[in-house]
Amino acid sequence: MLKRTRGEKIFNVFNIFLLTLFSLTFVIPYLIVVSTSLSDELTVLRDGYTLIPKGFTTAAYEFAFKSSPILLRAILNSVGLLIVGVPMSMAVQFIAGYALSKRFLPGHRVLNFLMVFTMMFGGGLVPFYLLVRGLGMYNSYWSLIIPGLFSSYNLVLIRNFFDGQPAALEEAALIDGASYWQSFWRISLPTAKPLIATIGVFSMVSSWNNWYNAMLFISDINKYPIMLVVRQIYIDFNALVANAAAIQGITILPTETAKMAVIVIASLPIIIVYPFLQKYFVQGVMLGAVKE
Amino acid sequence: MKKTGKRLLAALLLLVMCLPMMTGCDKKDVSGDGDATKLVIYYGGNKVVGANDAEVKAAIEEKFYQDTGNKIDLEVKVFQTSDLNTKVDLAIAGGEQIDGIISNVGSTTGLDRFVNENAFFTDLTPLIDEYGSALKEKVPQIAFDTVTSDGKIFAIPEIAYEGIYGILIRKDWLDDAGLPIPTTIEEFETALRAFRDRDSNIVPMVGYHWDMDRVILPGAYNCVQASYFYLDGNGNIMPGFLNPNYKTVLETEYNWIQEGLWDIDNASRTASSCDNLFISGRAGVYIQYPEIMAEIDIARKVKVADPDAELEVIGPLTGPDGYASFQKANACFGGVLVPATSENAALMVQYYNWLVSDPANYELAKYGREGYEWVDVGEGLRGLPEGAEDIIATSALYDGIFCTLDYTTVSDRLWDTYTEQELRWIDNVRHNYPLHGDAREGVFWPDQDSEMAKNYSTASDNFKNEILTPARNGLLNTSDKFDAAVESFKTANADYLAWMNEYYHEHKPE
Repeated sequence: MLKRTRGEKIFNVFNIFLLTLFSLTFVIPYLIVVSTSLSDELTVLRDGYTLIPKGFTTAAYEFAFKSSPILLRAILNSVGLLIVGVPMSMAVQFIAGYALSKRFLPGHRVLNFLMVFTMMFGGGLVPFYLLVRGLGMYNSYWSLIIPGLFSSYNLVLIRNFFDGQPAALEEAALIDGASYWQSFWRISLPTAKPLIATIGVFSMVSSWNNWYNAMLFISDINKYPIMLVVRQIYIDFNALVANAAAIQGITILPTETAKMAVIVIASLPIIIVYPFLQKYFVQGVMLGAVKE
Repeated sequence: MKKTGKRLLAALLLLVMCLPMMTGCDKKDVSGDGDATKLVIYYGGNKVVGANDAEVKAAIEEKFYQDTGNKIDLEVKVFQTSDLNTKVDLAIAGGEQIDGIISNVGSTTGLDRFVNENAFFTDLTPLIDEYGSALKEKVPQIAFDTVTSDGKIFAIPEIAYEGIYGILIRKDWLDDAGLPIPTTIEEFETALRAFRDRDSNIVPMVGYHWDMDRVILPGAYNCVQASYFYLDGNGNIMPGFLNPNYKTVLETEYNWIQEGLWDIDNASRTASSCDNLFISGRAGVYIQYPEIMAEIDIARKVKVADPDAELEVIGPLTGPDGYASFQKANACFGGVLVPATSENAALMVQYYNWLVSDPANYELAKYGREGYEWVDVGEGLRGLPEGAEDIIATSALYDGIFCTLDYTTVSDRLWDTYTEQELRWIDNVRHNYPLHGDAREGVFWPDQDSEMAKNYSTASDNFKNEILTPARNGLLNTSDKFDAAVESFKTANADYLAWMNEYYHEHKPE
């Protein structure tokens, strides 16, 4: 067993301390958000934000769902977009990445160049808007799925991964009579599980957090994804509370606690999924990064 | 073969690059319902979708047809104010129909941007002359001045109250200290000291320095808010911070911070933190955005947190020389601009003219159908119709989405849920408290890409950083440097101040 030197021990302690401190800067604000969402509004107003809920109540969650019917609808929209969009995005990117890793693909260099080009230069907002609108996707869920199908960054990871696979692996399959599709599906893809998990998490987070495209392309409030609703509620809480009592000023709205409740509701799915994919995620980020 | 491949790829690339241009050529939807003309209005602000919007829309269109003979099909698209510019830019680029853009005026992000940057508005001057007789009658000239640039009316203005501010104070704390409701700066200072001495945790007064400017000190010392403009003795327009009396304002602010009478963290505290302090009974005076309806909301929260609390909204405090006033809010805060691309400018003017021509029209668009979305309960108030309670638990009935502009000179019905005390506060604020006559908020200055404009901007920032901020934060009493700094500013920026004055008097006749 290797014995650590005194210097290494000090370094480790320092590292752990620093990383713990760094982690806390991310964790504590979220804990405060959760705590506030479970606190009584007036107690929050009186005592400010705390790590432990004061005057524990789930009233903010009840209020958020009852007073803003579009909240539930928005969550369902986001879940639907995720269920349809992520597998489509994964399919497009992995097939494209596999193909681009083959040097004998006609135009392989040009296609790679075009792909990398889009990482550095964009067409601009107006052409993007005109394209999506012109393709008849305005105010359609497809405007939130199709433009997100292809990510150059992910594609580079995938291409590099397949590029780094031993050629013998595929050659053996081809000699045994497999087609390129069969080789991709049965040989290359099963070895890419960590990468699938990584790209899956990337795509899921990107799909879940995407409010900007929805702001541009969706005009029907019933089609809003959850993150656009969160943003709107944060800009103006009353705007999405379709409750006449609130408009008349009869009811005192639980503004602070309900805002926090909406943030928790919106972030929970990603927080729940992430731990299950974390080990693949850490492996996967490195997998496509280096070629040997 | 290699050459052919390259040509093919080049052609493909060209096609891809041209795609966005071709997609912009889609057919414009300018039709409405049948032979009705569609009016598409982009609204930047907050309106809630109501359960009865469709019925109210039909009623408005029917009444408008009966009164004017014009069939319209109204479509109001509501966006967050921060998203409006992006939405308009994209819609214009996409060749979509926009007949009206509703936003605020007097700021670089509002309607002025369209006037300033690319002058893509329709000059409404001749149309208002032809179709806007009621608008000219009901909307004061000051509102039209606000939406006039180079002699062209670039928007149909709205009209709102100029008196909107009050000072919210804990009356029960005054009673505890045996003090009367303060009416002078001296009495107010005594009250603040009593609040401070009540408990070591108490912040006597919460609110930002611009709130202080709105309701407390400049009005008592006969000057205007630092960010406003005023007309000096020679009729020249000047920035508020150059007023000689503003020195006393700064000195008082510095002293109040030093004495612990005003929140020492006023510059950095968030609005919700100010609210929390007052609601939780740790502040005695609340001036954080002292608009009366917002103050009523805060006062109600205080009463929920402490049912024994007693509050009062007081008027402007009198200074040592007998001056007392609040700052004016904009009479015209917003308007509707008709883009040059609209083919319905005349109809837009006719619609807003129809709105203000008869209180019944305005109330229909603003509150909905009487008997369905509201009922007249007398004394200028409105109530909910019977049986509406079940609906409003989950949805508004109607939130005035087809009115879009406020015309308080035509009708302003409050809900009947306000208490007598709250109604008295509102009435005082709107009608009874004196306002500073010289204040000019939101003066529209066209963009100047000149050296003198840049120098002015830099000098203003320096003045604020070196003279205003240190005093407001209680760090340094800058009153001894004030006069010299003002003179130096005026000398260094004489050319820009002269240009402002010339522009103002040329374009804003009063």
